[in-house]
Amino acid sequence: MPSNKTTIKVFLTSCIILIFYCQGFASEHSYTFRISGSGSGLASIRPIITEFNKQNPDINIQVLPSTGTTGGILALMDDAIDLSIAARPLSPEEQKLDIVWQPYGSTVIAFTVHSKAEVTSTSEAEIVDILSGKITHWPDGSYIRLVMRSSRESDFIPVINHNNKLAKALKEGLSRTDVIFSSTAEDNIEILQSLPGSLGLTSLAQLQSEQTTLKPLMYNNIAPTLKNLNNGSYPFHKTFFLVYKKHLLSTALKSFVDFILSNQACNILKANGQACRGA
Amino acid sequence: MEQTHRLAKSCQKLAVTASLFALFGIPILFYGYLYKAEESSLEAEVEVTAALLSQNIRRNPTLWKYDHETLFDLLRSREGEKLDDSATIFLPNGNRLIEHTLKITGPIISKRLELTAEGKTVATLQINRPLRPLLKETLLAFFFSAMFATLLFYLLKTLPLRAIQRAEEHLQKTNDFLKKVMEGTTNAILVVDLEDRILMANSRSITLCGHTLPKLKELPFKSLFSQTDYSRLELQINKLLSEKKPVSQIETSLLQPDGSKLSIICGAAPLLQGDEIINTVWTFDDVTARKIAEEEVQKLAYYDPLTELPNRTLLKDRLEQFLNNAERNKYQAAVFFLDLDRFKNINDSLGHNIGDQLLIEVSRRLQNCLRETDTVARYGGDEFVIILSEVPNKHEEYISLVARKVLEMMETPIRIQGKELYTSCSIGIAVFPLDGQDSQSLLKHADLAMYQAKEQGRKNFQFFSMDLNRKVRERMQLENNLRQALEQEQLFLHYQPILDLSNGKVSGMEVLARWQHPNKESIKPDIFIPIAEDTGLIHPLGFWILRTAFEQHLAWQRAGLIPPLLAINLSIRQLQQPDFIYQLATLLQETGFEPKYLELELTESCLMESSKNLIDKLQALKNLGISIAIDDFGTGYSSLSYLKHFPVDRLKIDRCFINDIIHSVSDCKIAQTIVAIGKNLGLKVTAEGVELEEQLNILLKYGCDNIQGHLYSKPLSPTEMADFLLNDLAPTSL
Repeated sequence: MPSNKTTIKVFLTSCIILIFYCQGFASEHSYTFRISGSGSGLASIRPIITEFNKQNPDINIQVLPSTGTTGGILALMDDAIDLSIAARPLSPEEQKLDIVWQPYGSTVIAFTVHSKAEVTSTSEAEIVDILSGKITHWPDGSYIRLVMRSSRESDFIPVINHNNKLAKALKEGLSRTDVIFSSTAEDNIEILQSLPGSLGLTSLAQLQSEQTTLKPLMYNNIAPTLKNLNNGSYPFHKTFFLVYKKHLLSTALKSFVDFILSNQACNILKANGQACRGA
Repeated sequence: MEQTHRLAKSCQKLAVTASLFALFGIPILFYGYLYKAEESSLEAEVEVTAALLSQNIRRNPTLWKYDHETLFDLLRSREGEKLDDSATIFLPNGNRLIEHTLKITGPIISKRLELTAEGKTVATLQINRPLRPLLKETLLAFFFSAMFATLLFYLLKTLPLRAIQRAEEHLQKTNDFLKKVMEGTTNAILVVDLEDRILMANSRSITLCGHTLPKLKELPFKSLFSQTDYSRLELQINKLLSEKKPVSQIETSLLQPDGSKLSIICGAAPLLQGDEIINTVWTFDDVTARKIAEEEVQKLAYYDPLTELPNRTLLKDRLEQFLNNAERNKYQAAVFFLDLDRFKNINDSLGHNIGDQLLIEVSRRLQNCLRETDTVARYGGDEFVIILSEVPNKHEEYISLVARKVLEMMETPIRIQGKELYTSCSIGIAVFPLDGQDSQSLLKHADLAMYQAKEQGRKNFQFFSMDLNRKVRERMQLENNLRQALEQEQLFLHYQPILDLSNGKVSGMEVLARWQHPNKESIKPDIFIPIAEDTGLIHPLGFWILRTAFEQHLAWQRAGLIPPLLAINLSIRQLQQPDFIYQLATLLQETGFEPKYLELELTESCLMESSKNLIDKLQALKNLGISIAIDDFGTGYSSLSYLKHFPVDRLKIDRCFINDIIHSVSDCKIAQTIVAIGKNLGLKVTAEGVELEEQLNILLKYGCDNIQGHLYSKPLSPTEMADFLLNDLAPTSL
């Protein structure tokens, strides 16, 4: 008969081996990577992630709170995330970094109002007057509550760049004391939804992916649609980019990037009010 | 002035202090206030911003530090942000994560707050705020403070001084005014402190107290009074100090430097500070003149100005006192009523001045011969009253002794203006309580006794007796009856014929008034005429006699008779009546009686008491055609001078010389002399009271012109007189 001590030793050794085995098994079958960056960008790829997760259940994608395009690039460079979504083209400085940026989709940017607003359309002149404070009330008499973000925000850049009038009007609007500021894309949507009489700028992609109740307005009698964007009648849109470090691109991440650029993802994007650029 | 200078210095110090405070203190306080406000504001700003950042960190604890845009927006859009603020987020390693900043130069105020996540400090928020705006505002405040300080300095330095100057001017004016009031008042005003020092005195005080102002201020207040006066005054001072109320009308005297005294009335009032007396204000009113005047008034009221003896008022007062004392102490007292004999003659003949001097001398003598306890008073005219107090029980001896002493004293001739005057007096004496219980009855009884003395031949004294009193009562009764007699025609006239010795015919008839009293016998004129003179009834009585005699004479004339001259006695009282001549002339005119039939007889004493005025009146009577005769000639002074000056037509030898003319050589000589004087002066001479043949013979021998008396005819009634005249028409020889 083996001694009791030997038996205990064998048992403990077996347990340790089992623990390490289990660990190796787990790591082999569950890969995790982290995504952050532009809030609207993250919102735009959320349906794609959902679909990817279905197909690759062993890959765990952590979608961290948005950091903005600039913050995403910084976090990426800092290895705090593995993939960043940019809602604008990279700046020359950012382009100098050892990173890869690839467009994968674009979306319409629309002036949106509270769901109960009676208004359905606006115009450049009206927007200029509202921003400058000449018009303060909606036709139904309710107060216009401007919800603004930074002028460097991806939703605002296309409008500022559209023409000087709008650029000047936006600057005036930003300097007003009665303007409500939102710091993130998520806040922006939340404030616009919760504030009657609200007026702000959002992407169509975010409106659809977040399933908001906000009403996008026609601009100069043109509806903010992909069709009107593609035929060039609607002026405001923005493009989303995938940004990552090529040399750190893992298999799992690569498979995700490939999926985003696939036709399947393109269809998902289109279904969510975006035009795909990668496929 | 020194106080003002000190005050000015204080004002300047205050102005400098206040200005410096305004200049530096206000900006410093202002800066402190602003700094505190900024600090609070910044603190709030840091806390709010940190809360927002912490919220963001909690939302994205892993990647928050990369979201620069959001952080920047949060910093940029922080609540209460100031455009020149600088906000920075530091990582725990001290690296700057992000900042929203402007370049701040100069001093700053800074606030830091740690940002935590899950209990760990993940970053620090620092907000800097420049202090330049604060300093600018403080500088501006300093500028305004400087202006304010300058203004304040000016105001504090000048305004109080100006106010003080104005107050001083006002005070000066008030002082001047008060000084004028003090100097203008006729009263002396002194301010005295509680330690008896004189603090203030006006000019009048200096005059009244007799000291210079510096000297007065050195003296204690009490030294202005004699010890006795101050003791009395001290009672009032104590009253003033205890009751804190003014005292007034205090009569006292100021002690003069030469030791004399000045009568004053003083008053004092307390000067209060709150409820405490700090000084007393004294007023002195010089009442010396008033005192003298009061004494003068007193003298005039109670003393005879000529003799300086007590007058009638004071006499009565003293007499009451004496009587009270006498009654209380069971003493006797005597009242002398003294009248100078024939003083009127002296007054009229020698003038009032001599008369007054005589009265003064008599007064002096009377005072000298009496005790100090006795009183001599001038009762009026030449009447004096003496009160002898504390008369011993055997009063008659003592009183008689004093009365004799007075009479003797009067015997000594009095020399006035070179003239030697002889006077005497008559004294009536009443004794308390025997002759009267009160002053009035005593004086009355003494007066009666004096008349008695007069009747006794003057120059003697008489005690009052009840018999005398009875006589006086009778006399008073007679006075009343005489008034009725005039009204009820109880009076009638008798006529006594006067014989002309040259032809044995009646040459005249003396009119003699008779009074048939209803209850008594016929009353003689020597009884009722003096009463009529004393009571003033002589005037109506005199004219009644004149009118009745005139009318009777005229009636006789109308009856075919030849009535002779009417000789009617005229009282000096009648002649003294101012309109006597006029009334007589009117009566003559009314009755149609011829003045040539009228001869008015005046007694020798009348002429002696007369004056220049009498001569004029006699002359006026003569001018009317009336003759003047001197009745009772030889009984008076028989001065030849008045025979020279008076327009006299006849002398009537008094019956007292005729009575003894047979036996008395002197009467015989007098009668002879009077007849001789009459002859020499061209005057007719009539002898009265001729009752015997021997008397007639003597008178015939001397050459007397007329006789009147029972030898020739007794007084006759009008009817008898008519018969007498009828018989007289036949020739007669003696």
